[in-house]
Amino acid sequence: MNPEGYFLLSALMLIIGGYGVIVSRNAIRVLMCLEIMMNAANINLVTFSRLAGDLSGQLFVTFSLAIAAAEAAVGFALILLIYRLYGTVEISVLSKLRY
Amino acid sequence: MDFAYVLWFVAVFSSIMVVHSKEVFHSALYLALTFVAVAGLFLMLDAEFLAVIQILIYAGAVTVIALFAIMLTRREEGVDVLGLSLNSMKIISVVVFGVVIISIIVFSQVGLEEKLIYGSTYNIATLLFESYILHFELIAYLLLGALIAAVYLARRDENES
Repeated sequence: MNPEGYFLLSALMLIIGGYGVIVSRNAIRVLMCLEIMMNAANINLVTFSRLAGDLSGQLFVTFSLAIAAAEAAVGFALILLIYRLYGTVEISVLSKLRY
Repeated sequence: MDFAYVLWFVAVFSSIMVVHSKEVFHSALYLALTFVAVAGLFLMLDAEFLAVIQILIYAGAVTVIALFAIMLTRREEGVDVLGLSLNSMKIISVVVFGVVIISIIVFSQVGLEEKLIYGSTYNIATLLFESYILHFELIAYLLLGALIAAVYLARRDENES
């Protein structure tokens, strides 16, 4: 497949993930769409790394994976805390900034 | 036909289904499918190390954390999430496992002595521990902080219940 195919896939996944972050009602689904957006960025990095013949892009993806794992752990812990406080994870219900 | 096109369509379809499917549980399963397809695309781009890490961390850890969060925040009890009985799920998983093992044995062409130059783990490790050692240590501190933060946030207070 051409590099353009990978760039197109990256753009599509970024757009789908952003759409999901905006329209999702469930906080867990918002976090999953964030993971899709990070994956789209990773595809771009690996493709450019392959085109340039430079391994630094793959290293950046490794760092990005570590950050994504940390973000997922803290994010889902926050969601569990919100569920314990409010009894729901619906975004539209959680409109208060102060408990 | 290039196999990358199949992975392309699988990645796009499953990421659409993450947003579109009604049940959040199905979204998490489609998310795992997206990650596996992207790992296959990494293989196509000669990034074997990243493909393995992608399956380990994303398809393994992140998806399982998401499934735990879904099950711990679920209101209704006893929903049959896939619409299948337990016995048919057992048969399906055994068949899928057998197909994967047989296809690995039949179709694998890479020998152990084959040298992969561009994206080999040795080159990545050399670059990581020579040029990017400071970033590596910072990531280690970030992971430690995230671990402590997750445990602190998710713990239950003694006086709460």
